[in-house]
This record gives sequence, C-alpha cells and structure tokens, in this order.
Amino acid sequence: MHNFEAPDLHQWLDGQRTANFDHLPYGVVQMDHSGTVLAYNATESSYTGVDPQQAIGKHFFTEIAPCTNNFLVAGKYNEAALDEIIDYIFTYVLKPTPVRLRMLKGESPNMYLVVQKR
Amino acid sequence: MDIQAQTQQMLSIIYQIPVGIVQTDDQGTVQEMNAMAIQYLMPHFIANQLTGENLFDLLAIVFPHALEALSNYPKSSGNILQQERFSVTQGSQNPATEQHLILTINRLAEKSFLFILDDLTELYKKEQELFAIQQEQAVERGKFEVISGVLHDIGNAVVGFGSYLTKVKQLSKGNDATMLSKLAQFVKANEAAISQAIGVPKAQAMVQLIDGLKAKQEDHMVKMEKAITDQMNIVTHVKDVLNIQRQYIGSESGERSLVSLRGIINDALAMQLATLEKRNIAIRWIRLS
Repeated sequence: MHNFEAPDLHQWLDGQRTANFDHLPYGVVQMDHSGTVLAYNATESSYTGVDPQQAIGKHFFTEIAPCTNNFLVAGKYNEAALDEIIDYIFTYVLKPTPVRLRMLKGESPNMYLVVQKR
Repeated sequence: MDIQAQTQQMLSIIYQIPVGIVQTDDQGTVQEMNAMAIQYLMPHFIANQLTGENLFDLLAIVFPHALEALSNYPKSSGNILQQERFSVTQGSQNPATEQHLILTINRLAEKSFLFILDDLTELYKKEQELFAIQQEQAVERGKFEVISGVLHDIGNAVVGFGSYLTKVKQLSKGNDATMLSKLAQFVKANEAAISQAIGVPKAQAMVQLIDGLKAKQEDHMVKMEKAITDQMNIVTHVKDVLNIQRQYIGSESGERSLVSLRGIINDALAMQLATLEKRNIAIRWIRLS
C-alpha cells in the first residue's frame, strides 16, 4: 500500500481497482479530466458524510465539494501536470476539518484528489 | 425516502448553500463553517499564513473595521454589520484577482457570532464595465455637443455674412451709376451752353470724360453685382452643407447644454440685418437694472 506522500501515488492509484480504494487510510476521489467523479472511497465519505454512490457521476468541485472551487484547488487542475500538497479545510456538514490535500493530474485519463486528516 | 437518502439530500443542500456561513466564539475560533465560506476564505487564510482556525485573525488583516464594529457592539445579540462591502487581493498566489465580498455579522449570543459572506466580484466587474461604457458615452456625447455647437455657430456666422452681403448688394444698386448717368445727360443736353462758357474742346472733353466715367462705373457695378451674387451662392452652398452635416450629427438624447440668450439674439439680429436696415428698424440693448 502506498502512503499519502508516495512519489508514484498517481500511477499506483491508476493501477488499482476502485473497490480497493475503500481500504486506504486516506480519502481518494478519482475524477475524469472534466472533474466528474468516477470513484469516491469510504475514507473520504467518513470525512464529509457524502455517500459514495451519491458522489459518483457528479461534478466534484461544484456539486460535491464547493469548498474546493477556487484557484487553490479546482484552478490547479487546469494545469497539464499536477502533483501538489497543500493544507486545507474540509467540512463535515458544517464542522471544519483540517486536512492535507494532494492534487494529482498527469497524462492518464484520471485525476485524483487525495485527502488526509491533519 | 429513507433516512440515509434524506441525510444525503440535506448534505447536498448544506454543501450547495451559495453564501459563506461561519460561526465563531467570542475569540474568533471557528466552530461551524460551510463549504462556500471555505471556498471564499481559504485563499486568504493561506495567503496570510493562517491556519483557518480563527476568523478574527484574518479579519484583523483584511477587514479590521469589522472587528472594530464587533468589539464596540454593546448588546448580547443582534445585527452588528449589514452587507458591508470590502475588497481583498488574493495575494501573491493569484495577484490578478481582487475579490469583492460583502459581510453581515450577527451576534447570536454573548459568545457566539455568525458571519455571512457573499462574493460580489463578478457584479463589481460588470459595474466597472458599465461605468467605463457610460464614461465613453459621456465623452462621445460631449464631442457631439461640441460639434453641434460649432456647426450651429458656423451656420449663424454664415447666415450673418449672407445678410451683410445682401446689405452690400442693396447699397451697390444704382446710386453712383444713376447719378453719373443723369449728369452725363445733363451735360449733353447743355453742351452748347457749356461750350459757350468754357469753349467747345473743353465742353466736348467734359462730355467724353463724364460718359467714360459713367461707362466705367456701370461696368464696375455689373462686375460687383456679379461678384456679390457669386458670393451669396457660395454662402447658400455652405448653408446647405452645414444643414446636411447637422442631419448626420443628429439629435443626441440627453440634456442640452446651457446657451447664451444674448448670443442667440445677436445671431438672430445678424440674420435679419439687411431686412431691418431696409425698413429703417434700429435695435438697441437697454439694461433694465
């Protein structure tokens, strides 16, 4: 299992079946390049309360996590290649939750937002 | 709908609330914060090296007036600030963007404050664009008024010039030539008597001289009348051109600029000068007080 800061995390996630994401100790949101959610793991669901089945097929930045819809997070995914970690805050309903975000995008069809509680 | 579905629906609603909501204690520690508040405020927390755990720390930097209002508020509950606008640049991470927010602060209880934020940046940009367009329109309107005024003044001057030409034409009609013609007739009719007085050669010379003067004056008057007629045709042509230009300038909507009443009256008098003089009408300005 790759940890949150593993250098090849993007490639490793691409090689996994989405069902395996639920065993990871950090939140994983897999999206296509338009931002549509393809997978939303159990850990991420525990951070936000959002049911994975409700998340899949929706636009992540505007419908699932509007808190990320700014130049710090969503705007970064306009770049061709991305691997960046920032400290951020998510909300569980209205409860602010300090997290670390790792934003991943490359040549593969998938991009990822990986979330770890601080 | 089962509980799980209801919960998910509620979460969707809460996460999609289009305004930022933050609830803090009396020290500014964030206790509740919705997704939109994070969207608006996280860039500013990060730009100011703040963790996002205390809202007062951020307000002290970006909107100190809000903290002042909060600390001066005497009641234990009520509205402290209502939709006050403030601007924040998004720091070195996004230097091109200035964000315009409005903030409402309510005191919920002795140690509880509610902050409601909305982003007006797009509206502010539209306001600026509209203001720029209005400025451009005002400049264009000003130019039209200047051009229209200049055309009006030129038109009046041309009409006044035409009036003076008419006066000159009237003055030129016949007087000197007619008198010389009568003198020539008189001298011819009395040539015999004049010859007796000054001698035949001198009398003949006088007749020829006066005939010559008369012919020259008549020729002079014909040429002058032609020149005046040509000038009046030119004036008419210029007036036609000005009228056409006025049509193209058109009538710009908006208030007319102030005009000088004395100037208008003087222009009107100049236009009618020839007619007034022909009818022996004199105009004088009299100050009443």
